[in-house]
Parts: sequence; C-alpha cells; structure tokens
Amino acid sequence: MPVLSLLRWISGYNEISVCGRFPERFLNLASKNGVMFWKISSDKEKLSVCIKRCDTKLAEKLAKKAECSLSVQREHGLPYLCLKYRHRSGLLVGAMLSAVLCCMLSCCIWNITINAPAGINEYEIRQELEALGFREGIIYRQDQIRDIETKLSINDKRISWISINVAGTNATVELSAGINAEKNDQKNENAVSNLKSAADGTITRISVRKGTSAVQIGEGVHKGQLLVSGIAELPDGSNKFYDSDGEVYASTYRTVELTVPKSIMTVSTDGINSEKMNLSLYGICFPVFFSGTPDGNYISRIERNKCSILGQDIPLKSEKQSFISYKENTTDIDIKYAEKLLKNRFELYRLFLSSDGKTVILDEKAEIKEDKNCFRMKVYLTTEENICEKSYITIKGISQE
Amino acid sequence: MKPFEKKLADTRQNLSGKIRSFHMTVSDNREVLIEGSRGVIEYNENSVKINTGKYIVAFAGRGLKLSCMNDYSLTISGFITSIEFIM
Repeated sequence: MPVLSLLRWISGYNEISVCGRFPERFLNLASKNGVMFWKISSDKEKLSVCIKRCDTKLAEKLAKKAECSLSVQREHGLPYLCLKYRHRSGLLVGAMLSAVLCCMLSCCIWNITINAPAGINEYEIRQELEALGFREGIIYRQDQIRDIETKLSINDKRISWISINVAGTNATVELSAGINAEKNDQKNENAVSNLKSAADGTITRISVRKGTSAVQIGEGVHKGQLLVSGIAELPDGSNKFYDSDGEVYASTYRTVELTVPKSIMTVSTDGINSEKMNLSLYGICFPVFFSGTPDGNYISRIERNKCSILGQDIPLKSEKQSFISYKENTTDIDIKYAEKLLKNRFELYRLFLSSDGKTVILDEKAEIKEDKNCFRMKVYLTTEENICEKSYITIKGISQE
Repeated sequence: MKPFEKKLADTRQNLSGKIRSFHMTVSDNREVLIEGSRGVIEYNENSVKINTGKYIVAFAGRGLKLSCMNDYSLTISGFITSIEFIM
C-alpha cells in the first residue's frame, strides 16, 4: 500500500466531489470508461472520491453526462508541488546541486575497515596505507587500488596477501600474515654451525644431538670456547658437516646490581580531568566541546567511534580525547623502603631469568649498600644454564651430501 | 470517441462480459472484495447495492465505504451486518 500511495503521489491525484440525484450513475459511467476511484465516501448530498490527475477532464465530461456537478476539492501530488514552486528557481538549482554533490561524494571512500590478523598492528597498516595515498575521502579508482595492494605487499614483509574490497563508499582491507623470512633462513638444510660458549663456567651436563662434543663434564670453559663442533672427521680421512644442535649446561656465576635513588618520583592525580570531543563528517572535523588541553603534565586517551545505520557505516565519526592531569612529587626514602623496592625488582629479574625454563638459580647472596645518591643491591648468583650459542660457518668449495 | 477507440471499447466490453464471472471474497465482516461487478446501484454509508448481471448483492451495515473501484472490481469496507442476494 505505501508503494501504491507513493506512485499515486508521484503521478498526482485530485480529490473531487460529485453532487447530483444519482452520483452512482457517475461512478458506473466513469469506471466503464477506465477511470479508477479510491477513497470513495458518501454524504447525503455528495460523493467524494479520489481520481488520477490525468482522468479529471474525462471525469468532468462524464459527470455532465450523468447530470451531476463535479468540483475539484483538493489537489495532491508531485506535479502540483512542482507547479506551486515553479517560480522558485533556487529550489531547482539546489536540488540539482545536491544531486551532483551526492554523486561526487558517492565516488569517494569514507570508511576503511582493516581486518588485521594477530601480530599485525591495524594502526601501522593504516599509516602505511595513508603513506601510499589510500585514506578516507579519496576518490576511488580500481587501478589505484591494485597498485596500493601490490606496493603494500612488497613494502611490508609481514604481509603475504592483501586485498582491498570496495563496496559503495566502504573499503575493507583483508590481510594475511606472512612467514618470517629470517626463520626460514635459519632452517637451511645446508647450513654448517658450531656451538660456542656464551659465558664462563663449569660443565655439568652435555646433550649433543648433532655434531661432535669438544668438552667434557667438569671441565671449565670460558666465553667463546668451542663446545660442539659442526665438522666431523670420518675414518677414511674425509669430513662431514653438520648444523650442530644440542645443549651444554654449566654452572655459571653472575653478579646482578640493582639501584634505587634516594629520592624517588611519585605521581599523583590532582583530580582535574577534562574531555575534548570532535565530530568528523566527510573528513571535516567539528569541535563539540571547546575545553582546551590542560596545562602541565597529563595523560591523554583517544577513543574513536564510527556511526552506522542498519549495519552500514556512514561517514560520521566521533573522536573523544580524555585528559587526566597529574603532578610529579619527589619523596626521600629510607633504607627499609629501598630494600623492599630492590627485592621486588630482583623478583622480577628472577622471573625473567627462569622464564625460558633452562636457567636454574642454584645459590644467591645479596648485599645492600648505601651510596651518596642511591641504595645499591648486589646479588651474587650461582646458576645452571644452557651456555650454547650457535655460530654459523661458511665453507667455500665443499659440496654437501 | 474515435472509431478505433470505440471498436476497442466495444470489443473490451464484449470480452469482459464473456470472461467476467462474479467472485466475492469476504474478510471477516469488515471487508469484501468483489470481482466481476457491473456497477453500483446504491451507495451510502448504511447500504451498498452492486449489480452483478444475474442478481444484485446488497450489503447492509455501518460506515460502509468503497475503498477503491474500477470497471471490474471494487472493495467495500466497514462494519457489514448483512449480505443479501436479490434475484
């Protein structure tokens, strides 16, 4: 029904009233001549009906034939509206300009959505796209999009595949992460390597999977000493090359020094928070609040939101910037508090050290000293760790099996 | 009326007379769709009489209204209390 009403409104219709002794005669006569009626209401004296604008003249003739008088009560529809405003040329110009503007704006991209996989930052990709000239507000060209896809996949080694899909004024960037090239190089089957010591210590355990061990348990080693050789001499006098692999554990000694200044800086918020909001329509920003950036030190947080209607993004965006101002205070600390801080820091270091699961702390001895400007904690650690460090060898003129 | 138009109208009338058969679709007592009508004999808000050719169908009720009408069909809406076939 709304569609029918709209079509009637576009073609224009009249509300007429028919007076006479037998208005039914008019209805029958007119309907037989192809005149269509709707909204037919009957009073005691007259009949009110709606007919198409183009049927009005025919209806007038038929009303005379049926000995009725016909009068147009009201005129509805687009043709009458155009007639009413035909002298106002500004409206026509405005309508044409808005149509042109609408067409022009439809050629631009107003929303870019990036579906980045884990490990690739969406913000970085957006920056790279902007550097290549693909930003919100540009006029969309298919060949330009293909160029950008190619350039971005060449420039950014993390990306193995990229596709920019444009639907209307929305662009969706689909990405696929690439395989790290360095890791690939390391897995070269023809590589020859030794394992060298990364620290001084005494060997406690040896586990060699590939290569020939060059040290024994209980032997003391220094940093850089060969632990596992990648070159093996065969009984027939020839050599065989390996990409050495294995673990050599040694008890090592290390000293960790941690310091805390006597006067430390503390941060406290003074409760002054402010917000700034901008609305961006078609890439043009309008401020909503006129509050400025606070004086002094502050932390700011930006929150960007897109607007959408029925699941479709529209080129209206809001950007809210929150400011939290803070003050820096300097406080002098005593040795007890310093000891607490230093122990906390050492616990963090311990966690970091044992995070790979291959380093075990066997013994530790800590001492705290007070210096001129700081408190210093020295920790002497005895650890057991894998001291192997891979060292690749380049051998020219020898072919591998 | 031009001769061609007259001929076309006559042919249409003859054809519709042959094809036209009376159908009535009643939705509750609120709306009736009539197809194959030959014209309105009486129309006011309490009574509507429709000529079908073979007989007259009389609708009685309150606030009766012809929602839309053309040469072949019409719709009556309102509170219908009775339908009578007058032979």
